[in-house]
Amino acid sequence: MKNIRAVLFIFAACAGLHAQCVPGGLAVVVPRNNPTDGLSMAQLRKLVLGDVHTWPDKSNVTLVATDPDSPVFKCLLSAVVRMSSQEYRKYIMSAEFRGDEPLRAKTVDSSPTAVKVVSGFTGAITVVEANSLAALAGSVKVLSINGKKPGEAGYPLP
Amino acid sequence: MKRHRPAFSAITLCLATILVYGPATAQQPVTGAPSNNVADPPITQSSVDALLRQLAAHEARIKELEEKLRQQTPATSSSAAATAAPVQSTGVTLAAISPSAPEPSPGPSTAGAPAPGSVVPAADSSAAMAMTATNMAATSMDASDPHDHMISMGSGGPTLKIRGFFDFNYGVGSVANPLIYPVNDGACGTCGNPTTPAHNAFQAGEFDLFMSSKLSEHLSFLGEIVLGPSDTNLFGLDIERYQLTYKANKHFSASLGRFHTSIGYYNTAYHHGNWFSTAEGRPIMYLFEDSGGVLPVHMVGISFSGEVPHTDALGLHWIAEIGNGLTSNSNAAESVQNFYSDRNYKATNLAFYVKPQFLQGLQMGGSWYHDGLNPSQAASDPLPIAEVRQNIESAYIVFFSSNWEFMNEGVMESNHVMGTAQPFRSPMAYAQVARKFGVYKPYLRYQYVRDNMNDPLNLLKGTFYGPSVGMRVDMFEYAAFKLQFNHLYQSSQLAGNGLDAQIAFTF
Repeated sequence: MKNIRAVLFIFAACAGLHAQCVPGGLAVVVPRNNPTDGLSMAQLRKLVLGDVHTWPDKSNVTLVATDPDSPVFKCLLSAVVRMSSQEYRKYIMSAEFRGDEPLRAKTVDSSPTAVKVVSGFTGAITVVEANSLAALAGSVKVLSINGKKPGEAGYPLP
Repeated sequence: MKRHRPAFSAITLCLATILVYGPATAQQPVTGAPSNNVADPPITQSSVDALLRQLAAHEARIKELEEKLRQQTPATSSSAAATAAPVQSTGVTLAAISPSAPEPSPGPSTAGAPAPGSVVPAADSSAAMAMTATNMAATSMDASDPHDHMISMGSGGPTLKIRGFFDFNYGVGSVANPLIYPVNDGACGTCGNPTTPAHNAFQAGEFDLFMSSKLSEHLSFLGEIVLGPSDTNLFGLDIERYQLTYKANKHFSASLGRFHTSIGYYNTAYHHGNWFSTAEGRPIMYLFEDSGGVLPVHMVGISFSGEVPHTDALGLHWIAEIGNGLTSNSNAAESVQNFYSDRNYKATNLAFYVKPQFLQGLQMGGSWYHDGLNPSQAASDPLPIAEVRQNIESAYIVFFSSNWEFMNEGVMESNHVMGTAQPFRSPMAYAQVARKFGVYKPYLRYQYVRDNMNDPLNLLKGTFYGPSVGMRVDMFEYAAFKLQFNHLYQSSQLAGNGLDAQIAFTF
């Protein structure tokens, strides 16, 4: 019985690692005029790493992000690209050093600001706490990831 | 629609005017479009609100102007419309929005803008906001990194981004120097690789200035200037890279200039900038041409590259390069033919690599390089050898995760003197593994190079093989300490040992 409890405890602990790392979980947000409705995790990873620079409508991808050391961005990096913020910065610098087109990114001070900026910014994308969308949900589009919206079972972002 | 055009331009003009001349607005940290600043301050909630309030106020003003516009003659409108275009394209608004940007002086950027209060075509304010925001992004580039250094002139023009790298070393032993290790050619070229005396020295590494600039939506430039010392104690200046790149889309881009030949992985990933690489020096097979290296690690010419369409899952990329190969004279002071080519034959290189989606961090690739050298027609010190056909095949597989690093590369170089039966083959390879434990990253590299002793072109003669073990410590985010021990067997001399301590950083 003790062994079973121990195993259950380990499973619970492991599940905790994949639990929401920010209140409400993460939501991927684009302007309402973006024709894209959803992304796969692989596509999201490419966007965050700067491997993809344009949307299907040819508009330029710009990552609007909170500070790389903020909980939201750390959560995004660990969940999507499995990097620390330090590793991510080095990766971006390394890509640029190789001659790759640099990632377009913009830093803002909070998730609500990110959403507000994205709402009027063609080609922008941001990842924020789903909770921060409450007041501004109508001005932006929340993308599905792997066909799931935030809050749905099987949604891959924490 | 026509009715909205004047309003659109009017909004743009008013924004430009307000942001250029309005000190209150200029102090708002709305966007981080940098000028000659170091850091890119974040957009704040209050600044966005302030901008939106201003937009609303000026929208009202624009409506008022629209009323006046109706009372004016059509000629006035068309003349104003003609002057409105430069405002949108020059980015005056952006420079002025930047909190740290100097007030733009009257110049090309502002000369074409109508005076404040002019009547110009307009659109609705949301479109203007979108346009402004888009421009903000276009100039911000990778502003996510506060470590960036950017320079833009107040009068406009592209932004120049500069990043520097340097390393400082302390080496003990005959195979310690990361720059010329293991070759000591004394800059004489013809010496080949004589015995390197044991030494104990502080050593400057490479002072590397990397610059990049986006000239337009599709056109960009990068340059890299390196100052490095040799065993003559003189610093040599090299323009290592200059590439003007046109990128049509992700499937096709073309670069002109001097670039790193796409042979293997290490050559393009860690060419300079020792801070990037886990280990402290290059594998012997990728030594620079002027350090006795046998591979053409630089090329002057044109490079085409892109991602193969409909291969997203596989991540298949292609590269095709054509340019001046290395000089036919192995003993020339400069092996890379930057200006004068001693033959009409052009070197070509075809490469591919895959980055499959199913395993992030995995990359596999290969290349085939071909050239025809003519040592008998070398500009200096011609050899009594006719044509030499050079083929270089490479293959690699690398994997990087948060904690692990695996790098494996192999290259086969064949120099075939025409009229002889067999080519001179020189196989070379290395494997490297590293594991990260917090800031510590121990690593092990084993390398092997067998350069055919009779090959008339290669300077590196004989067989070199052995392990290097080391530890990288990322003491700070942008500075690393490395300690590496090398043990190298050499067919032409006794095995050598070397211990090197290095501080490598970016600034």
